Amino acid sequence: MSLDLADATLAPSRTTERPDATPARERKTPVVAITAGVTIASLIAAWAISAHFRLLPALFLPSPVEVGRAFVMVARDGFVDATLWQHLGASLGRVFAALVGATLVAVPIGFAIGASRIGRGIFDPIIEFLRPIPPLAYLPLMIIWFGIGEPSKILIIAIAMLAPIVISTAAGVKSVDPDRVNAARSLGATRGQLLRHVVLPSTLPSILTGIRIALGAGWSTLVAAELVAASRGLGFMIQSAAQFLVTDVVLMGILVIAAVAFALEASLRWLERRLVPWAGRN
Amino acid sequence: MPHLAIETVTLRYDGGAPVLTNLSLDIRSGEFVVVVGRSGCGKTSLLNLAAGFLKPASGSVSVDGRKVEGPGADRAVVFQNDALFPWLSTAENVSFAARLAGVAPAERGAEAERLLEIVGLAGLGDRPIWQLSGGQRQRVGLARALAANPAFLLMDEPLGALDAMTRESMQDLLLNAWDRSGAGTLLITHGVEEALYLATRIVVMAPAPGRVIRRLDVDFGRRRLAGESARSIKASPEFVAAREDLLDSIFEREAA
Ligand SMILES: Nc1ncnc2c1ncn2[C@@H]1O[C@H](COP(=O)(O)OP(=O)(O)OP(=O)(O)O)[C@@H](O)[C@H]1O
Ligand SMILES: [Mg+2]
Repeated sequence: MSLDLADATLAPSRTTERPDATPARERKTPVVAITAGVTIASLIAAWAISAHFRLLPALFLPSPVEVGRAFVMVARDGFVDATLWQHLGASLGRVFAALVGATLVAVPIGFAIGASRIGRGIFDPIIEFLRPIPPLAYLPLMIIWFGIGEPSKILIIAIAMLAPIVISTAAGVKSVDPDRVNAARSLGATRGQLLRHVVLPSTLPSILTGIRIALGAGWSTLVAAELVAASRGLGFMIQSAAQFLVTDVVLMGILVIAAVAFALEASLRWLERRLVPWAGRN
Repeated sequence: MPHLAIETVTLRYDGGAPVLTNLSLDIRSGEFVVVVGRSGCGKTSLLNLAAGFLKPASGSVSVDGRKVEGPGADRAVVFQNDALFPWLSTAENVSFAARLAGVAPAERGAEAERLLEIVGLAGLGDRPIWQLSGGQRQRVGLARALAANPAFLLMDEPLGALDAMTRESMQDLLLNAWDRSGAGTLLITHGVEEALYLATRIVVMAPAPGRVIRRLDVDFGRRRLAGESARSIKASPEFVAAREDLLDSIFEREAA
């Protein structure tokens, strides 16, 4: 029997490399970026050309220049008694209020589901019930219960945010590494210390992912929420513009909503990289 | 002198077939007990019993006559997959026990620096864990365990994931740490040479159900600590004979 074999006999299948040899972070290849740029440019070109030759009436399809002009006009002079920034501020305010509320409720529920079977029995059905209902369906109920004020609007957005945060948090709690828990216990951690020093930090990446998804979900229910007697907000602005057939403002509003969604997603990803740089590296 | 006693334990998972039967093992401070045995024979289960992560169905685990009711800082554990806390820096990982005990940060920093020096990682205290190599992480895991100043050091294949060269230098590190701390040490390994090189006593386990089939006292580690080179020890006729003997006993019993 050779020397090398002696140490290997009992462990024929063990690898010597650590499993974290995966690529650190996926980088967008230039090919994707270039293709995406070309796609966007062609869409805008097609839009500009069909608008220029009036393939559709201006009422249906204003030109990019007209939409740009609508942007400047609404930003400076306002539309339906508020500037673009006031509409944007109102919408962002609602979404962030909803986010704070939803996070405060959803994170503890996620912990309950992830950490205890009783908690799971209590909350799982509620979340599974809420999850598939489109916001427009419970909108009337919110109005009947809470009136047409700000609370209804925030609540509609918050409900849409609840499920993503709960589900993501619960998954995070369930996937806490039992070895890490045991390591802390054998170093003398009490139950409370385990929660604070091991479970909470282990779960943080999942909570942040949940918040990012929730922000997207909440932002996309904005128009529905602002159907309820709003006097400001991007959703309200679009609806008013639609009633007056001001199509360039409608299009501009849609583009602003898309741009803000993109910015929110990007800043949450940035926040994740800052707060939990270790996530996905172990 | 601290004494960890595992007496005639039987262990079952969820009331299934016994994974360990009638198994006894003593570890006293100053001893380096190494457990070898085929995959699945219950080595990790045994260590988890000693650590207090599991409770036996019958028999007892005690330290100095006091029954073990759960994990405790007197029995520090080094895990195979390091089980470090990536949200803390290297130094903060090392001084985790002190953090739990409410020791002031400045004092913790000094303590961490001292231990990192012992495991050969001086100056790396500020590094995030994920920027360390596998071997460095295992050193941090060892330092974290030593920082608790444990009476017993329990290690589940701490070198299993390392390449051969890193493994050899880590073996010397383990010997030195054991010699310096005097902690009663339990180490699980797949490596027969590693067992011979480190142990004062080797315990061979057989599977289904997990039990001890042989105990063997050796002193190659003490020779290494006395200054003899690793190569000369591993090439010595006594070492080669002991290795063949140990392998024979493992295969003989497995064939039966
Ligand atoms: N949590 C568990 N639930 C049920 N059975 C388990 C559990 N953990 C281990 N076992 C079983 O107990 C037996 C011993 O497992 P153990 O992990 O102690 O073996 P081991 O000697 O450490 O193996 P290895 O060398 O592969 O690490 C195995 O048959 C395994 O399938
Ligand atoms: Mg094992």
